[in-house]
Parts: sequence; structure tokens; C-alpha cells
Amino acid sequence: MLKIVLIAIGAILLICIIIYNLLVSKRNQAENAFATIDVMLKKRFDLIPNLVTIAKQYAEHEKEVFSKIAQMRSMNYAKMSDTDKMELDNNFNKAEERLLVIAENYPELKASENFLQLQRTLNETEEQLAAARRTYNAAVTDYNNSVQSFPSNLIANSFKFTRKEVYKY
Amino acid sequence: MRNIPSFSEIKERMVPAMDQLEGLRRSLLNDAKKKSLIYSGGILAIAVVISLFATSNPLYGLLFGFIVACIVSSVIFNYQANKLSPLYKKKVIGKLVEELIEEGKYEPETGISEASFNQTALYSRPDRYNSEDFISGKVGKTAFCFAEVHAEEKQVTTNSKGQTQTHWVTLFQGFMFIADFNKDFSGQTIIQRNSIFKFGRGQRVKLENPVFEKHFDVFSTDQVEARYILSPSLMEKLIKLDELFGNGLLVSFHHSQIVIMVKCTSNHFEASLWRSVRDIENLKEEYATIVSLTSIIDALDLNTRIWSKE
Repeated sequence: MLKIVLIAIGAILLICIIIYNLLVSKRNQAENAFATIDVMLKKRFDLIPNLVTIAKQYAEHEKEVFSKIAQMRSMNYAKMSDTDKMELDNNFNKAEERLLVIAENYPELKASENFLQLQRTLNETEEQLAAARRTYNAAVTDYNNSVQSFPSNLIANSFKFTRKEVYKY
Repeated sequence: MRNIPSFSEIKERMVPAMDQLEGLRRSLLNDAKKKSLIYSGGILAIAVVISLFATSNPLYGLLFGFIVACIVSSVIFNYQANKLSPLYKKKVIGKLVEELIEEGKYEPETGISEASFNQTALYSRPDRYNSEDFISGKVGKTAFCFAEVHAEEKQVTTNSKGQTQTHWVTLFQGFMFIADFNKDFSGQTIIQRNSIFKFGRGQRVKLENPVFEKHFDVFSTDQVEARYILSPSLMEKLIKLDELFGNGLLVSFHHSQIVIMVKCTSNHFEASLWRSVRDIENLKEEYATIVSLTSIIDALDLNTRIWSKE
């Protein structure tokens, strides 16, 4: 009888260890995916000087939009807080949209090699950024499913594995 | 979207080459019939004589003679057909390729290498591999090629008496289509059919499109790169393409190329002594095969070069 009880306890313990390790692995995957988004954002951050240089020749009256991101470019990316990065993300999107509108009004800008090259690089970075965000969301969904479903939720609650928010974009 | 010549336009342009070959086919067929009659008839006559005078049971001799006559006939017809086939491929299929494909080139004796087949990582290594009818060209900026491929695996079974039997099991038969992809990538991503057992090379990639997930399982060496390749719009396009080809596509992305395996059990681009070269239905079928394969480039929008790859 004692033997059966010991085997049962051993089996339960083993299952708990497996679930715990699985949760840790999924949480790490989500964090790693988030780090990839950061790498892509940094790539985009490095494109700011190109964007500003090209835009300012044509957008004297829209200096404000571009000077904002130019100002942010002078900051050290590694030391930026998440809020700063989100603000940068928003400002960058605005500046990019404005640049495309300006290009529509200036055919010579639209046809210039520098602009075309920048547009390709921006598209590339956007596509990679989107892929990184989708990867993060897939990892978070997988992790959240484990945190909320039975019986892994018992281990998750005991060891404070909390639900993560998906990236909204 | 490119302008594909309609079938009636193509038919007009193909008629002279087809007429020329039809004359040759008829003379080859008549030749084969005559030779077959002479040789097979001779063999049968000898068999009748021998079986009447030399054997105790004439039926065995007659049967043996009949079998030999059939074999000789089939060798004669094959020999004549082999004279027609290369000319048909060169003059009819070659012309069809030139008419339909920009910088189109048709090499009937060439195929896609076994190494390229193995690099797709979609199948186990074949024990017998054959590839022919290599077609290459361009659609806009996108270079592509395709060829017929038949890959088989040897399976040996042993029965209860200890006797072994060898079976050849087809791994893939159809067209292997390779095109330059419009994005650069360094790893490998493969799209297999959806299965209960999720095994494949690399990590499993779960994607957001439920219809896509219902049809396929994706594996990749890099999760982010797989999603970079399989954008939401490409997933939709692949679903449509899969429907168009009868829900049997397998896809592999490697070396910045897309490889699509299109299953097909019939042998294309072949001539027959028994079928008229002017057979419009046959030409229509070959036209449809080439057009549907080259249309993959438009269907997947591979000429859209808005990313860093030009």
C-alpha cells in the first residue's frame, strides 16, 4: 500500500516538475520574442537620420513632425524606457505617413534613388517588425493558454506565472 | 499581371509544326504496322510449323510463339515511337514554351537534380529518382523553372515463409516548381499538409490564419523568418493556390527561393504513335499545364519587389 502511495506521490511530483519547466520554457520563449521586436525597433530607430534628411528638403512647413523624431534619435536607444520606445514608435509611424504624403506631392522626390531606397528599407523593416510582433503574440498566446488551462493553471498560480498581454498594433 | 496568349492564338501558331509532325507520325505508324506484321507473322508461322512437327503438345509451342510475336511487335512500336517523341518535344513543346514564356527554354532530357529535391526537406531521401522535361524562363522580374519528377522509395517485405518482396512506393510524382522569392532569407521554412502528428524539420510555427492552419503544418529553422515569409496576404494566396491545384501542394522556402510540389500522376509532354499530333485536346492540356504552373508567380505576387530584394 505504502509503495503505491509513494509511486503516486512520485508521479504527481514528476508531472508538477514537467509542467513547471514547460511554463518556464514558454515564458522564456515569449520574452525572447519580445526581445526580437526590440531588435527590429532598433533597426528602425537607425533609419531615422535617412528619413529626416530626405524629408526636410521637401517639408519645410512640416518641420515639427520630423524634428520630434530627430530629437528622439539623439537619445541612447539602450537607455530608453518602454514608454519612450512606444512614443518613438508612434512618432516614427506619423513621420513615415507624412513622408509618403509629401512624396505624392513632389514627383522628383518620389522618383529619386534615395527615396526609393529608403522606401524599400522601410518596407523591409516594417515587414520584419510585423513578423516579430506576430511571433511574440503566438508565443504569448501559447504561454497564456498554459497559464489558464487545467491542470497547469494550478502550478502557474502557485509560482506566480501571470498572464501576459498580447502586442496590439 | 502578364498577358498570356489565348489558346486559339497559340493553336494558330502551332499548326504548321504540328502538321509537319503528323505526316511523320503516320509514316512511322505505317512502318511499324508493316514491320510488326512481317516479323510477328513470321515468328507465328515458324511456331506453328515447329509445334506441329516437333513437339508432343502443339498448344505450348503456339502459346510460346504468340508471346514472342507480341514482344517483338511491342519492341517495333516502341522503337518507332522513340523516333517521334524527341521531335515532338523539340518542335511542338519547345515552340509552345517559346510562345508562352519570356526567355522560355525547354530541355526535355534535363531535370531537376536529386540534391535539389532533397534540399526541400519535404520527403525522405528517395531510392530511385527520375526527372525530365525541364522548363525555365521568367515572368516579369521573377526567374523560375520546373520539371517532372518521380521519386520512389524501396520497401522490402518478408512473408511468413521468409521470402522477401521488393515494392517501389512513390514519394512524389508531379511537377517540382522553383521560383526566385521576392524576399531574402537565410533559413528554411517548409509547409506540409496538416497532420495529427506534428513532425517536421525545425520548430513548429503556429500561424494566425485558422484556414491555413487547417490545411497545413509549418516548420522552420527560424520562427520570425517564417512569419516574415508567410505574411497574412501570402497565406491567403497559398490557400487559393492550393484549392486551384486540388489541395495537394507542399511548399519549401530555402536559399531565397520558393519550391512548390504539384502532384500529378500523368506523364506530360509525350507523343504517341496512336494519337494524332494535331489532337487539339492534347495541345490544350499541355497549354493548360504550362499556363497554370507559370501563373503561380502572379498568384503569389512574386513580382512585387517593394522590399530590399530587387
